[in-house]
Amino acid sequence: MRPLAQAVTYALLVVWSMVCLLPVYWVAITSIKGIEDIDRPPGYLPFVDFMPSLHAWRFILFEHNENLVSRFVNSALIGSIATTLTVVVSGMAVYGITRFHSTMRWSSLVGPLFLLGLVPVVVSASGAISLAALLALAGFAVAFVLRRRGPVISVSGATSMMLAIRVLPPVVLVLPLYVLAQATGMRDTLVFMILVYTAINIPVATWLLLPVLGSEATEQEEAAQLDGASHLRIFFTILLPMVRASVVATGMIVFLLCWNEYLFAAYLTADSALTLPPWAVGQLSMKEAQVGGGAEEWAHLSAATIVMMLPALVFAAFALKALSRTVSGRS
Amino acid sequence: MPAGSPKVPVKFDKVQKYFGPVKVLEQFDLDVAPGEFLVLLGASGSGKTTALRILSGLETATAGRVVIGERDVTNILPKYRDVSMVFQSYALYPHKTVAENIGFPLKVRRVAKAEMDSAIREAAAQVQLGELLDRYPRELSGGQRQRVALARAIIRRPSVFLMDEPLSNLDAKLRGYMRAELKHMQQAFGITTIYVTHDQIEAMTLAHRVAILDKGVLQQLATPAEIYNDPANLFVAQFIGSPPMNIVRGSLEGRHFLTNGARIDSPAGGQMDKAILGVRPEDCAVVAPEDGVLKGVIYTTELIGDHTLVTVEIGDDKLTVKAPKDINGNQGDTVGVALRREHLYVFDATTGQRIR
Repeated sequence: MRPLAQAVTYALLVVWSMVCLLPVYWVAITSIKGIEDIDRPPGYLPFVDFMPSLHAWRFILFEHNENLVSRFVNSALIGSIATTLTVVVSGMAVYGITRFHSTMRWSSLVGPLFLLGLVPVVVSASGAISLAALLALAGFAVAFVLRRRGPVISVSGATSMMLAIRVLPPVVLVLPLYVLAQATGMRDTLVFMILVYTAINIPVATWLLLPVLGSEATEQEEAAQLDGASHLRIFFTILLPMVRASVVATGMIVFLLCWNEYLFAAYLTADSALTLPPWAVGQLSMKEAQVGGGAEEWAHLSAATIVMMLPALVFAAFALKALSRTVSGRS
Repeated sequence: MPAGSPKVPVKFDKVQKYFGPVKVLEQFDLDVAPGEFLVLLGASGSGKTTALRILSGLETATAGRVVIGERDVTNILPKYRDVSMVFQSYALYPHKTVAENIGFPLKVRRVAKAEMDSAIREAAAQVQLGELLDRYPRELSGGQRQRVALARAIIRRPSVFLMDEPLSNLDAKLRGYMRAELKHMQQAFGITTIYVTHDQIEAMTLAHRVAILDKGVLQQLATPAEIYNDPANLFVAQFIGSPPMNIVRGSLEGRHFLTNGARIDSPAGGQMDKAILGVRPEDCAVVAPEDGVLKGVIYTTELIGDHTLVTVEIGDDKLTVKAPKDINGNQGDTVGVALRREHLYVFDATTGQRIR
């Protein structure tokens, strides 16, 4: 490239890097600012504009009630266990949907299912619902008569249904889950959070894993079938290791979804299962929420934010390493 | 080597296979004798790989039965059929070592470790892979990978071997070597083998019998010699043999084949307006125009090395003749072609069937 073009390119890159990184930098130095420095006109450079102080870090790490470590552990535990469960279940779902072709006909399944659903409709005796139900029944009768041949659930049908679940706004689910949690006494437990995160992330993981595991059986799988392996064994010992990188990438994405998740964590946890996002936004900023706020909380919040960014940074480093490995040709 | 392991026959009984509206196999009937090396030969799309996969259980037939030994295995899962398969691209497990690849069939059956290790070593020795047991597939050459696939297939001593064009991905020299190895191994083990290929040389050299398929229909099932010397129809006649059999169009009257003003004694009698005379290049000779039963003009000559291929244009047909290497003829010369009467074949031009 010509020197002028190169200079301009680098200049643009530097400017854009600053645009992206300046907020992160700001948060980082805020976390080491003293209480007085936060209120004063902005200081950009430690030791030059202000004297750094570790009081914020000390506070969130060691103060008994506002302990970062336990929140971090909660987030990490919930995130990793939910991710593992999600990836395993979604992987098996994709395997099942794409490898086993159902030969059931539409009509044979839909009829009995619909009859089951009719029972509460008839019982409720509501005019509008009955009409809708009757219309639907008529539709299915037509399908039966036309005798549509083909699998009950096609690959695209099943996965579209799964994606549709994700389109549903999560806020709709929060209240029912809260009631469920209270009723079973599982509110504010790690187990419940893990289950919830697994459930809401399975559609995402399925969608991400579909191109990876979804193609028709590879030759290695066929060879393993002939060698006598069961499908479960093929899935875990033959297929998954072969697509390790993609599965790990999917896991990283799901983990970050769990890690950053605020809504469910805020409503469904209180103290013992509290994860990082609601803690940082809620508990840590209580004084700031009131009038006349507390400047020291900005430092605490900044420190917590830095900790919350850590997994993303770690994953990015891993991804870079994995990417460069694939490029260099290691199979 | 299993001295007393039973040899099993294999049977395809009226097998049909449709992929949607596309008919891939049509009324496929085949009886494989115990311990036989049967080659399924055909071009791409002839249904040979589909037939193999139906036998292995990876595909299910739309109609018909498959019988291995005494058992009807039509609806039985692949792993219970007691067959082994070598795939065209070997299908080795990339994340396992050579030893783990070879031992996988035994590991799945929970064979004891000591027994498994000795079986792996024995199988590896039989394919000369002894020193490579700790390598990964990506560190092996094509020939080595193919031998790993072979070892994995033989370790279990199955009832039937299936091979799907296993030599296609090898270079010519290695292919020749592995052909001999395969043939020797099959003779030694005596296991019924079904081998799919599009290469007629492999079919001719390896098979006890060859089954030629075209568009899902079995054309002929016979020994290599019979396929070569006694083809059942035009497709078989032209598929086998390199260069392919020469085709002369004409008509059949009684015991004479009429074409381009020539009158040739025909080995078969009949009355047909459109008939085809077939003769292999090695059964023709380039002679003086007055001595040959056919007369034409030299179209081209190609020196192969130990012989010359002379293409003679006779009317609308071109005949390729295997001539001695030192023949001197030039493009445009008028020559005659003599035919060996015992090696003439007559076919019906409309159906392609051989007239005997």
